[in-house]
Amino acid sequence: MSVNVTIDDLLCQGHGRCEALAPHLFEFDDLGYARVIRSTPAGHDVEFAASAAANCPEQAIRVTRKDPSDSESLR
Amino acid sequence: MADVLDEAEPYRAPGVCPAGDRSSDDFDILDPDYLRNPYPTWDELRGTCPVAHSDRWGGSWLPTGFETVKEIARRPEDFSSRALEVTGPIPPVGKGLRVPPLSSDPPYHAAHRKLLMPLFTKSAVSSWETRIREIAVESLDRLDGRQEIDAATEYAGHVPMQVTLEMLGVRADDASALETMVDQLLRSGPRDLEQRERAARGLLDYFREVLSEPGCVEDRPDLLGHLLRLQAEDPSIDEERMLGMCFLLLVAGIDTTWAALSSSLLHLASHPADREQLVDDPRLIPAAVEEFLRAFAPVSNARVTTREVNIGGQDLPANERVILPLAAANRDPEAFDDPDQIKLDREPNNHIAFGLGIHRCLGSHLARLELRVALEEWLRRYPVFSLRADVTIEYWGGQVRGPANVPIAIGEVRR
Repeated sequence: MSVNVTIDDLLCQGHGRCEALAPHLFEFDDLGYARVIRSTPAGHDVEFAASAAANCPEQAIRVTRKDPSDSESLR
Repeated sequence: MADVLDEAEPYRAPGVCPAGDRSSDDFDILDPDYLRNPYPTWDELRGTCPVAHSDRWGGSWLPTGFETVKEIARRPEDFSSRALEVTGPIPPVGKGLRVPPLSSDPPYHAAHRKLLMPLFTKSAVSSWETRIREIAVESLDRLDGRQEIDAATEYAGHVPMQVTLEMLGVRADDASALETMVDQLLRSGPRDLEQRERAARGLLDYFREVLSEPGCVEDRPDLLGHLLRLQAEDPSIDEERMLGMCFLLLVAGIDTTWAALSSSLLHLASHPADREQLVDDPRLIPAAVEEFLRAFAPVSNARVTTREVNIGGQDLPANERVILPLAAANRDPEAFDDPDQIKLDREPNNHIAFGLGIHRCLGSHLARLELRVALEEWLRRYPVFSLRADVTIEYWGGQVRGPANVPIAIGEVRR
C-alpha cells in the first residue's frame, strides 16, 4: 500500500513533531514550518507517515490511501 | 508504582460548580494544595463544569478539556492575548504589558512573530547543543561530591538561566538580579500584584539600559544584536516593542524549562523503572521528554474574551479572563489513554504543552533541546538517584507551575 501525504499550510504552526518522528518524510522551511519531502510513501514508511499525522498537535497532516477506489482517510 | 503526587490529599475546590449557581465555582489557582496536585480538581471540573468560573484573584474562567482548550487557542479573534496574566485586574485595551508576538493579536501578530521565527527554528537552535551540554556538565561539576541535591534550584534552574543569558548576550554578572526579577514576576507575582508590577518595570528598565550602552551595537553576535538589526531595517519597531521582545526572550525560556526539567527529574527520582530504562537506553529520552511535557506541561497563559462568546457549552461575557491550563488539556481522558500514567513511549502523543495555533511556543525547539541534553547529562552522571522522603515538595504556580524543590539523594556517580 502507498499513501498520499499532505500538510495543511494554514494549520501547520511548526511544532516539528513530524520532522522529529519521520525526518525522511518531512523537513522544515526557512521559517520553521513543515514541508513534505516524500508525498507518496509506501511500505514501512506508511506507518511513519501515520505516526507523524497522529502526533501533530494541529492535525495539519493528512494521510490518504492512493487507491482511488478506496478513499478512506487513514487520519 | 504510584506517582508520589497522586498520594497527596486531593484538592477539592469548595463548592465547585453547584447546579444553577455559576458565580461560586470558586477554584483557587494559587492554593498550595491545588498547586501540588491539581489533577483531581481538573478531573472533577471536566465532568461537572467543563468551563468553570472563579471570582478569586481577579476572576477567571477555567476550561479543562483538551478540545475546548484547543478551540480557544485557535480563536484569537474571540480570545485575545492582550493580557496573559492569570491573576489581577484585566488592564484596559492597549494598557497591558506588551511582549510581542506572545501578547499580539491578529492582524499584527503575524508580522511580529515572523521577525523572531528564524531565530528559533530547530536548525537555528541546534547550533547551541554543544554549549548547552557544556553548561549542563558545568552545573553538575559544581555539585561534585554532594550526596544530596535540590535538583530544582541547583540544576534545573541553572541550565535554562545560563542558556538564556548567553543567547541574549547579557552579562553573566546580572544573572542573580534577573533571576530575582523573574522570580518576583512569575512566582510571587501572581499573588503580589505590586511586586509583579515592580519586577516587570525593573526588567524593562534593565533592557532599556543595556540597549543604550555605547557598546550595544548591531554587529553583536547575540539575540540583542539581531533585534538591533531588525530595528535598523524597520524603524517602525519602536522602543516599547524592542523592550517587549527582550522581556519575552528573557522571561519565556527560564521558568518554563526550569519547571519542566524539575518535574521530569522528580518523576525519575520516584519511578526507578523509568529511570533505569532511560539510563539503559538514552535513545528513549526524546520520547520521554514529550511524555514529561504532556503530563507536567508547566504553562497556563490567559486570554481575554473580545466579545460575548460560547465555548464548551458555556456563555462567556466580553472582557473576561480565560485561563488555558495546558496540563489539564493534556490529562483529558477523552484525548489520552490513562492520562495520569507516565508512559515513556506513549504513541501517539499529540500533547499541547507548547500551546497551539498562532501562539505555539516560539522557543519549543530550544526547550526540547535543553530538556533532552540536561536529562542526558544528569542520567550519565547520576544513573541511580531517589527522592528524599524527609523533605516536603512545594509547588509554585500561576502562569507557570512547577516544583520549587526536588530533594534528591544520589545513589551512584559515574564520571
